[in-house]
Amino acid sequence: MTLKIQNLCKSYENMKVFQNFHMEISENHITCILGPSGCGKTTLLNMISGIIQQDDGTFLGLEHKVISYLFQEPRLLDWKTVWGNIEFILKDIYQKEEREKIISKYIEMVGLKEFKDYYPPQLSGGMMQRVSIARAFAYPSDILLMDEPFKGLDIKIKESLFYAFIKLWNEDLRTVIFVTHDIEEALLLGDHVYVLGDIPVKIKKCFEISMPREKRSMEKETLKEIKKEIYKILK
Amino acid sequence: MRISIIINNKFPTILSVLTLIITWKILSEIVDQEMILPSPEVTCKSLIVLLKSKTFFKVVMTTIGRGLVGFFLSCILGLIVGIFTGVSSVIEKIVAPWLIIIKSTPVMSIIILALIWFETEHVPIFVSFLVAFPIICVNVSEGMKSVDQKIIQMAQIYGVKKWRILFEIYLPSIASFFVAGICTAMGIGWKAVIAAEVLSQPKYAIGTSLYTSKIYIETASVFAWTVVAIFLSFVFEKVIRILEKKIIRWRI
Repeated sequence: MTLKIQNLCKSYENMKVFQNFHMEISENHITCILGPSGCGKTTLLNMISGIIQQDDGTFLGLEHKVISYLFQEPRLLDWKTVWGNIEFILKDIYQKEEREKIISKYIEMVGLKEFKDYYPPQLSGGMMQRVSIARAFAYPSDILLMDEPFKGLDIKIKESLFYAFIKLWNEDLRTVIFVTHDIEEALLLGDHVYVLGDIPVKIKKCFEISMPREKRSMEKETLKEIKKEIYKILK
Repeated sequence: MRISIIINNKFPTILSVLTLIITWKILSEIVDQEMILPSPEVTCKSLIVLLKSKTFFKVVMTTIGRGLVGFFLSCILGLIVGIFTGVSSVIEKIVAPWLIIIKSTPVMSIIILALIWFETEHVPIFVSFLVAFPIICVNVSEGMKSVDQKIIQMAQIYGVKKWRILFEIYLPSIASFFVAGICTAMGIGWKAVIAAEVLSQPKYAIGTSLYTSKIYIETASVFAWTVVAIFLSFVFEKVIRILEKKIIRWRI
């Protein structure tokens, strides 16, 4: 099954950001959307999630789909513990017993079991982003939108978050739309990598990466080649 | 180690209080008239007499009771109105002139009008309410406006119900603004309550006792009651700060 974005149009003060834009997203895969800053990537995610409305166009296959969102910032409630932050979004969905099982499972999977009673101001930036990853996966969504959640974190933290993310994703192979401007992130995580550019936004190229995620590293020749090609397109 | 830290931290405060008392003592020696400026020891003696008197406890408790009833009412109404003004700019515009009028009216005008309108017992309650209400209301309103919209957006995407967004995001976000409002309001409020008592003369009240001491030219007693009033204000601010720490646990 694929989700289809058709004839998408969106303008801001006479500037046509999207003009008859088309894109296909495979279900149960990770689709990366790569592009320079300000090319409309976040706008696209916001339209998919319904935060903003498109001027025209349809999202086929998105009707009645439940969405979770991994933001650039962790967006945690300072006054709730790690546990409380995840519980906050699950309270209306699950009964207490089931909810507790789910929260325990995801907190453990992101390696924060010992920190479950900590408040966000007591955690590091990387730990807070782990909580938000756990929250996004604990929520029973069909689609997970990610808006550069690894931006601004140092390499080691980024690697550990990648690992946590892949571990969680392998559990239920959720449909992921991952927006980033970091070529390596896209190549290490994506099944499909769309490279966007220009205004109105166009798909410059789409890459399919079939190499198993666990075997990927930027030392691999195939990925190096794709990186070079993307770099040229974006230049 | 720990004791030395405490001494180091408290030292400037202790030094400041000692300087105040010494200056007071020197001035009282220079003036040399107990009726105009009683010395710290005389004031202290007067305070002990007050503390031993049968009515002292009742007088203080009644003043506290009146102040707290007014504060409590202003907290509830200030919170409700503040939340609405924070959410809607239309409501804010409607409420703004009322708040400006209440804030700009001299406390003495409020007291005198209250004397005309209410029974003497209720005047200090009304005054403490009117003094505290605009401060709390404005603080809560500012708190509402400062709520991080990105957090609200997150809650909406995750389908959290509106009433839970109010109780679990908005209310905790405004907690520190609310507490700051109460502290400021209480600082000004106790003074206004006692001023109202001086004019309205309820049977048991710090204000009434102050006025009586003035009539009998017992200046030391006026000083002693003033010390009691300062202490009262100080204790309540401390209590609120402790409550704040208990409620706002997430702050490092």
